[in-house]
Amino acid sequence: MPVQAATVAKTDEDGTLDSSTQRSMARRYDSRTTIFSPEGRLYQVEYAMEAISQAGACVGILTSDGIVLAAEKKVTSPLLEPSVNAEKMYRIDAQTAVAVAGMTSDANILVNYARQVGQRYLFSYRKDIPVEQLVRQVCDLKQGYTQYGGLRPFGVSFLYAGWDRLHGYQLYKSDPSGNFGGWKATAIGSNYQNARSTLKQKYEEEMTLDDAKTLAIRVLSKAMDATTMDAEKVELAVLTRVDGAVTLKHLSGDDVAAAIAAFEVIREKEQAEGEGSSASGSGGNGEGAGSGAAAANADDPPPEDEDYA
Amino acid sequence: MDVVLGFVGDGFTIIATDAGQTRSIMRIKADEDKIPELDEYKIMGCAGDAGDRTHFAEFVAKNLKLYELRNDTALTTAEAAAWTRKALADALRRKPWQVNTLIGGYDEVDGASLYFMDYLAAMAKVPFGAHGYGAYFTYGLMDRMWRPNMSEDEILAILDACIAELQTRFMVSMPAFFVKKVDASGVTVLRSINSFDDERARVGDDEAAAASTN
Repeated sequence: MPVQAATVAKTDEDGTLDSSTQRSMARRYDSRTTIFSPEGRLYQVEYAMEAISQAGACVGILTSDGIVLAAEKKVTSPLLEPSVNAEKMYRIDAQTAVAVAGMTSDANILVNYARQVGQRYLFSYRKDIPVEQLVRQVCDLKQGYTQYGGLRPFGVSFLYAGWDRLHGYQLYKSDPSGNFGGWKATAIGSNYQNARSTLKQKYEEEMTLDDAKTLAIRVLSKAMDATTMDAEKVELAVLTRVDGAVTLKHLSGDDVAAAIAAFEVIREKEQAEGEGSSASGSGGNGEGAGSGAAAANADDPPPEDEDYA
Repeated sequence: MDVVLGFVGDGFTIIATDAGQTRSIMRIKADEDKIPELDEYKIMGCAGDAGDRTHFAEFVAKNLKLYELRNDTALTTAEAAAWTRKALADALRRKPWQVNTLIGGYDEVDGASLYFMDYLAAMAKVPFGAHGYGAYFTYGLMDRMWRPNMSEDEILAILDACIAELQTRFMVSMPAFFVKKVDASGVTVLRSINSFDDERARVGDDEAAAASTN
């Protein structure tokens, strides 16, 4: 790409950027995925992450007996045919499944790629790919779109749930930059800061799968806009190992409704207790919207995310 | 004409090869180690073209190491054998390696194991195996003598019976063998030949000595 003279920033005598120049910086550099802005940022990548934080929330919780994945189903129109069962969760191979937040069309490409990665490994080694290797290979592809010119990054974050003989049950999160990490519990998508701060407060190492389901519903209820939880708007799945085979079980509408009911009971109990002592911390919805109070998770929320929480 | 023999015992795998390097009807050297160590817990007995043998073993060993560096974990014997088979199969119609192999290894998942693979990349997991002409002379003995969970001494007794049969009935002379064992503590060389400190390895020395005294 030719270097344009116009891209050279105006500076004051002392070399600092004046404020009007700074304001136009975003516009000047944000159309290029592969060019750093003078502040050292890649705007397209940040915008992709922003797109994801508008998408339906996803929660993943790791326990010693398995992994719970939960997702918010955004009902766009009553006329739309509901998808059969799983809308945002995909089986990648015999050991791994993902939950998606972001652009579904982009996710389809990545899911297809991840499945190919899994089968290619199986073809080479006659064993299922270790979960972290699968995550890494998909993230390598994502990273490529932040560096090679003329391409848009994938507007997708994944939660990967899997089991392998090396590390047992594992939960990973990846974002459009190609970053990934292993988590005990984490959330992506809309209101993810609130979701994560709830997880931070309520997650316990010795949780059972049922505890984790209840917590997942609690976290989703924080992240979703609706005042009442509706089983039709929630997708809940559990990844466990049964007789040596890793299974992903999608909970039926009735089971999801039961999990929601279990959470409602707990919440009402907490509210009753809470009214006696302190008024804060009620389990209402959308309480964190727009407030700077959401505990920023150490790993990633970029500074400007507070504007959209 | 190379002979490769392999056996699985109780918690270990033993592979043996003759020590000859031949070209046409000529023996070039008599202390050739044809059991390269692929990594700490894997050995590969090789028969076939001398150059391909060396090149293929190095290619496999370096790729196993690369996997280990990339993923912080070594492949199991089964995974390494599957990868090796695929490498051989992919090369088969481009630039084939003329090697027949027995891959022996030890890992925590499957314990000791042995994989038979020919130059056409046909592979099987076996309790014992042999390649080349040597197979014609030794499979009968192995069928008769091998039992599951044999001790090292018992396996070596089968091996010695096989070597004795080869030295009796096989047209090609095979005066010495390399023998290596792999188990939970890694690879052990049970028998080796070094022509500089082992008189027996100097093929023709006995004859030369006999001729000079006559």
